[in-house]
Amino acid sequence: MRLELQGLRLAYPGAGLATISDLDLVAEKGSLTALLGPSGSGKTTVMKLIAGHLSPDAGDIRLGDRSLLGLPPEKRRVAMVFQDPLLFPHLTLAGNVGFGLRLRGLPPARIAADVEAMLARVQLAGLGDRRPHQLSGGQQQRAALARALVLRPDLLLLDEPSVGVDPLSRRSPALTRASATRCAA
Amino acid sequence: MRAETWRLLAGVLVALALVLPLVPLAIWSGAHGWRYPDLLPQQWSGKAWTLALSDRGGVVESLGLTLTIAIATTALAALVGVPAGRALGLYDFRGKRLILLLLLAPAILPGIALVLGLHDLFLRLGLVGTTGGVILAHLVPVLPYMTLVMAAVFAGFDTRIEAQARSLGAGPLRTFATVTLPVILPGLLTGALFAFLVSWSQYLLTLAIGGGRVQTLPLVLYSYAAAGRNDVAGAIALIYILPGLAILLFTASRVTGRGFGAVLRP
Repeated sequence: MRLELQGLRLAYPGAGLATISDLDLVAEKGSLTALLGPSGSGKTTVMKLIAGHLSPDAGDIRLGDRSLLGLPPEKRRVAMVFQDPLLFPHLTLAGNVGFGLRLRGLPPARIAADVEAMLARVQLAGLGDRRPHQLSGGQQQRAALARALVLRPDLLLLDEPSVGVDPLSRRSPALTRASATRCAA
Repeated sequence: MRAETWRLLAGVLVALALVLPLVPLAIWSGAHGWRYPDLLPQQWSGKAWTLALSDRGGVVESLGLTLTIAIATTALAALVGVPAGRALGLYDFRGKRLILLLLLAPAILPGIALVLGLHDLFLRLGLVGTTGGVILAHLVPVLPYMTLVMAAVFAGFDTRIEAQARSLGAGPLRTFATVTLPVILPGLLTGALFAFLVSWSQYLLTLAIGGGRVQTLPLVLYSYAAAGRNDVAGAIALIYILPGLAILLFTASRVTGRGFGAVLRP
C-alpha cells in the first residue's frame, strides 16, 4: 500500500524546536524506503508516528486510501520492529512469533504451521521452545523480525534492524529476502 | 570451617530463631495446666484443640473472616497500588517526592494516632463496626507497601514492550493481561504477600474500626490470652501462623521459579 506523510509536525513538550517539522514523504506500494540521518534527527520518532505510538501536532499519515490518524496502533496493520528486540520474556520463541496470530484468533494448527515456516525463513528453525534469554543477540533480533513478518502487515517499519545482528547474518540472503518481500507490502 | 558449613550453621540458626518461639505455643496447646517451675506440663490434653476447632470457640468463623478481609484488602491494594506504582516508577512529575513521603506516613506515624484519626472519620461515614470499614482501614497501612513495591518494579520496566505488543495487534487490555501482567507478576506477588501479611496481623485497627463486632483471629487470640486460657491461645496462635506460612512458601516458589518442595530444601 502507498504510504503518504503530509506536513507532519511534532514538538515534544518542553523542547524548543519541533522534532519533526513539515515532513512530506511518499513511499510507493512494494517499495523499500530508508530514512537516513544523524542520531537524534527524528528517524525513530517518524516511525513511532506512523505506527501510532505518538500523535502528530499537525499533518496527516495515509496508508492506501485511509488516514491512520486517530487509529490506535493495534488497528493500523503497521508492524514496527524496534531497535532492541523486545521479546516477551515469559514466552518461548514460538510463543513470541505466534503472539499476533493468536490475537487474530487463528486456529492453533495454522499458527503452529505459520510460526514454523517463519522461523525457518529467519534461520531459527528448531529453536521454537527456547526462551528469549537462551538466544544470542542476533537470534533475538531475527526473532523480533519474524514476529512482525508473520503478521503480513500492510507496512513494516524497521528501526535500525541490523543492530545486534552479527555480520554474517546481516548479509544472509534468507534474512534480506524475508524482510524485503514483506517490506514490499 | 568451609563456606558450606558456615551456610548450614547460619541456616540452622535462622530456622531455630523462627521455630523456637513456636515451641512454647505448641506445648501450651497440648497442656492441661503448666505451672512454674515444671519444665514440661504434668498432664496433656487435646481440649484446647477441640475447643479451637469447634463452632463454639469462634476460631473457625474468625479464621474465615480474617482470610476474607486480608484477601479483599490485598486485591484492593493491588487495584490501586499497581497503577499508582506505575506512575511513581515510570514518570517524573511535580509533587512526586511529597507523595512518596505521604506514602511512608502510616509507617512513620504512631499507630494509635492513626487509629484515633481514622476512627473519627469512619464513625462519621457509618463504617465503624462493619467488615467493609475494616477492609478500608487496613488499606491505610497496606497500600504503601504495595505501591512502593510496584514503584520499584516499574522503575525497571521497559514500556516499549507494551508498544511492541500494541504494534502486533493487542489492545490496551490485552497488552496488560498478556504482556505487562506476566512481566510484573513476581513483583506483584511480593507486594501482595506484604499486603496480605500486614492485613492478616492487624490488631489495633481492627479493634477500633471493627468496634468489637468484627472478630478477626488476632482479636479472638488476644481475648483467650487475656482470659488466661493459654492452652487455647497457643492452639489459635499455631493456626494463625499457617496461612501466612503457606502464602510465603507459594510466593517463594513462584518468585524463584523453583518447585514448592524445592523451596523447603536448603
